[in-house]
Amino acid sequence: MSALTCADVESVVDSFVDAELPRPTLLAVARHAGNCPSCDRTLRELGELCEVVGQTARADAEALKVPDLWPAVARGVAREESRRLWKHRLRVVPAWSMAAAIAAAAVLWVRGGDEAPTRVAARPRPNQAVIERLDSTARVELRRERKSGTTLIMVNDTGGPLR
Amino acid sequence: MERSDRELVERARAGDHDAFRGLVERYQHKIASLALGMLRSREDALDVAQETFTRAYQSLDRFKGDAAFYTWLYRIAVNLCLDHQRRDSKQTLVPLESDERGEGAVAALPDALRRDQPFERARDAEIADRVRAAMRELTPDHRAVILLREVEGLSYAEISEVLDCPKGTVMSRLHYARRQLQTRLRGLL
Repeated sequence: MSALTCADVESVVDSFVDAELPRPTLLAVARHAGNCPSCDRTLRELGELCEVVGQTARADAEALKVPDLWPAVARGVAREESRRLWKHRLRVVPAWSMAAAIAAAAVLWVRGGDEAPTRVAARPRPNQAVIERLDSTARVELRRERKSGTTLIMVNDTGGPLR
Repeated sequence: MERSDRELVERARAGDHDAFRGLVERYQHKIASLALGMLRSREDALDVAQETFTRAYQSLDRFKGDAAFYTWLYRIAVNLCLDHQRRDSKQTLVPLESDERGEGAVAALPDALRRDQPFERARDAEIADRVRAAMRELTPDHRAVILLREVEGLSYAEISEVLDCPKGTVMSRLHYARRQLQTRLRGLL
């Protein structure tokens, strides 16, 4: 390997201090620094900086008293497992049973209202079915008036037979 | 015989809580120390360490095993620290220069730095304080690269895995961070 210049050394000082250079380059830098007081000083200063920064940070780390984190982590682990269990359950439920559950929920929702839905009657037009009143407990009967062509839906809200 | 990380990870994946507990106990101090270096608050560091292990458990299935377990763990911790700093710009500083017995900064320095002469001890304390102050002034990204290199002793390749950035970026961040520290500590070393 040809001799390095000061500029070459300057560009690799960090890698040299961290021993991240290929062995021949490490040796070439060391050889150059042996004959160049300026580069030698640069490398020594950087090495000293790394040492003092590392020592201070390591001393802080050693002084840190870390309690056992497992009890707190175990709670997180338990939450995660519960979440996974539900995810698994949802995955194994067949699609048809999900659809049946949704349909059942919809029926209950429709039938569960306290107030029966009412509709203000509009003037019937020919061939138009008019729903006068709907009640979930009522009997319903369809009647078609031949003359006007209107279909009437007769509802008895007492639940008795229609007359 | 101590089980390898890989073996403990495999067992933890299979639902063995004791195996995961083994990993927590093995790395809790390292992760908390790294978080302390990043955040300078003991409480925040412990919170981040706890969250790191919880997240690690959640994504254990996604750990490919092509990287070392600890670099993967460091990655989660560093990301949580960066998120924490973005979220909360105010940082509570803990007086690390005094321990519970109130012995001052020198107590926190390793024995090698402790000397008998009061002058030397005071100088060590001053150096440590100046180094901490200079580290605080670095950006979180630059602080992370310094801590991973100088404290954890990771190689450039490992740091690039932890920070999920190219090796060249690691080198340039390290170079910049060191020049900043040198400027701030000029006259002290």
